Amino acid sequence: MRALPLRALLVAAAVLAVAATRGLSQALIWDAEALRQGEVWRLATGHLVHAGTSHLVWDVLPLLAIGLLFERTLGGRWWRVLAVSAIVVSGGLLLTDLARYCGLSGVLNGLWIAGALAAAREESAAGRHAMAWVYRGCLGADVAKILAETMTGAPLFTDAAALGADPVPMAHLLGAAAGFLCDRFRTNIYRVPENLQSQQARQAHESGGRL
Amino acid sequence: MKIVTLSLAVMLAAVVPSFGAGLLTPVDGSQPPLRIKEHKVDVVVNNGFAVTEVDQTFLNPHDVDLEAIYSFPLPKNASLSELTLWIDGQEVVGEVVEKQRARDVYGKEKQSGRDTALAEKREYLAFDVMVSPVRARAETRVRIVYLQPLEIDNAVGRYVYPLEEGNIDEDERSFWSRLPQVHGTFSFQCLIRTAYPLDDVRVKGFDHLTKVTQSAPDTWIVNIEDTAGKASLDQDIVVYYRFDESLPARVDLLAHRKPGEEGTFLVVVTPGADLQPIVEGVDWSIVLDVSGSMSGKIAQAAAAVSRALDEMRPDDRFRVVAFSDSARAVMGGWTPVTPGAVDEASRRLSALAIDGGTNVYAGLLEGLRDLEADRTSAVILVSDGGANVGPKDLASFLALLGKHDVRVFTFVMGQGANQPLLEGIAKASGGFAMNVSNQDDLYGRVLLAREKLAREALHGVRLTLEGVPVTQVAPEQLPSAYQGEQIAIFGRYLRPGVATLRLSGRISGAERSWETSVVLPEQEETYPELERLWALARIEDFQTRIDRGGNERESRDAIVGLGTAYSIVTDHTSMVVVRPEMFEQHGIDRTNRDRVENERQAREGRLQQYAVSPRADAGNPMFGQRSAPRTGGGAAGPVFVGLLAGLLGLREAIRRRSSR
Repeated sequence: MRALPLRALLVAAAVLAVAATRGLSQALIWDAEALRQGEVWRLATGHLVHAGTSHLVWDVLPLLAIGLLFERTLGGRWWRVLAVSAIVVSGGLLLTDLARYCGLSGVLNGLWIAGALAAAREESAAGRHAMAWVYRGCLGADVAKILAETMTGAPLFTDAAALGADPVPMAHLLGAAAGFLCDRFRTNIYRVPENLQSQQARQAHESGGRL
Repeated sequence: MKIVTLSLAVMLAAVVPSFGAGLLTPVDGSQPPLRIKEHKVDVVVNNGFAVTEVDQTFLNPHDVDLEAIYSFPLPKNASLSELTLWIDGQEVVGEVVEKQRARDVYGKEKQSGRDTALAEKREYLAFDVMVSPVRARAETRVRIVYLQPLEIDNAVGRYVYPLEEGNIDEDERSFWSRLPQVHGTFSFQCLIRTAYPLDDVRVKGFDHLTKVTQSAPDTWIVNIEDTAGKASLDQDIVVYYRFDESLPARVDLLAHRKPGEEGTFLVVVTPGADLQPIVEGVDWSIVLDVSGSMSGKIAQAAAAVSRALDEMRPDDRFRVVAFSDSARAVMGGWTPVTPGAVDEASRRLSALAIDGGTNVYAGLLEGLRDLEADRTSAVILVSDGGANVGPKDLASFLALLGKHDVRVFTFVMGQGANQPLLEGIAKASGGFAMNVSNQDDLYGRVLLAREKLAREALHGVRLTLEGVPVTQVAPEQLPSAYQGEQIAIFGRYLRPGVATLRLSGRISGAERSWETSVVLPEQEETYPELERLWALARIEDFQTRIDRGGNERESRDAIVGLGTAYSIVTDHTSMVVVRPEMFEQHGIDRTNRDRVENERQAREGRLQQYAVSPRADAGNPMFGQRSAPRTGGGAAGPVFVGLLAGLLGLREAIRRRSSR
């Protein structure tokens, strides 16, 4: 049985704690005016706040799924990607005319992009090229979706009315950009899992030393 | 045929209670009950005002002729402009005369057995429509039309078709029973036409029967229909329409003018969403009505107040006062807003006895106790009733408020509250009054208010037009403008031309002003209803003068003059319908017939064309910002979750196969 996605569970617990603690949402939400007055913690904490149950459910479920998929692949980079995505999304939204923002989806896009790129490399290295191309295909489709949403200003496949807040495709775009940045400038090139090292070495040997 | 009459029915109508909508029948059995066979409502919301047409058919299943008395809660700021009775298959439009004269005419016609109808306004409570006779084993059809300006708050418009119960006086209730059931078809259609894009339209009330469709880029339609004979006129229908929040702050202008005559205008200013947050703590005095009529609402009100308190700032403080016949402190001293304190307040509120009359004055007096001069203070007054114990006149409340530097915000629950009094209190203190239908999400309305209170407001608001002679502007005094609120004035203009529109006021003590230029047109006849809406705004000004203890006779004469000239049912004028040949005998001119015909043609003409933007400052914007702040969020959504789950499953399957 695979290990539990502890990092994702920790973030999910923080999200649920904010939702369950009365009055906390107002103190933590991304608020343009409050940020200008120096309440900078909102750059980070705004992503933990959600506008309602539907909003929360549709952010926590993919968080857990991304944890299961990529937490092991990203390893220590998980927190780095999460932090960079949070700051890029929050900082980028300051350039818009948005008054308030909440939700984890921008950050999830960062984790998803960085995780899927790393996983594609991992699968490729392990000789599972079909799976690697599945990741790349999904990434391409997601990027196309984000671009379409950004251009039209309307969300695809999401019931905006049920969220309790207006969808902000720009947040997804910023999150995705953060994910790509994290992948491009990753400092610890992905570590080949122990159980793959021998397989990788065998493949290298069979292909004449080329990986 | 014998007509069963109610002795002094018309006089008794003056004391019928404020039930919801329905046919009123004496409980003593002196008249058998009639039936509402059909109730059809057509509403058109168009550029800041609504026209509501109610077409009703009464059925008399008995062997004697009867009188129908139909009562419905008074819609906010409504001008009842048409009462039409079908006589011998023909429409006969009513005319407005002074109230007592209308009663006399109605009484004489009823006595003589001729077809007649009367529509009266009962203070702030209801419109009463009396029809006589509804012939034995026959039907009678009437149509009521009223106009009302609508407000847009934080880019959300709200229209209420009021039906549900307002305040109830148990003594008066013993006279009447209400029959709200529609035995045949009940239908409600609301057409929202706007040149500004809408994001969403939602409806509360009759939810399971409601259909909302967008039939054209500028047209949304709300449809509710019940043909099973099960509809009951006892719940409000509330229609919310949300504008695209990217709409700019702007000036809208509607005008009506025939060449060579005086023109009428409506200017609506939607300021920019740039009011700054208030950083210092506020002392909140929550004053809650716990009189008998609140029995079905107190839990909802207390929960909404508690949840709103949860959202207050950490350096805010609060106290809670409850009032019925008298007032008492529920949470006496100023208490910091902490979860524990809010829980305690909530617990104490839920334990309160709900009983007695409504002594608003005592509640406010207690709520104003112990205000501290060095802290910003606000009173939130929640009530569903008319003041029926203690001082009831606005002048007494104004004298009380004059001794304190405090803003009062009133939440008027349901349709039976003394809205003019509560609005007068709020306006005089620089606060605002918010109407809350029982169908509304009260917590949402309280939160909306809290959002406003957390920001600066524009006080001492003045909106003037210069460069063109303008007269008889209404309202005479504009209320303070809070975040997301519009500022509107009606007026008359003597000649066309380009005018400078200037908005000014104080924000946190500093004078601010904005200006632009607008064109008052030579000829414009798209909105003839503007004349009545202007007259209604003037009438409200005169009524306020009376309420504040001004020259009653002078103001009353002015109301009668405006009411009869523009055919508006007021506290002092009523609308009466008689057989066509009898108008002349009673010396009543048919001015409303012509006005109604003109308005109907204009409405039909408007429906034939695309909605025209009323924006007047597009070339020279008065403000540079949006009209509403944006709150955004975003969820990954079910498709994304499905994708991830699929990937996970696929990955595991491939890895398992590889490992084998």
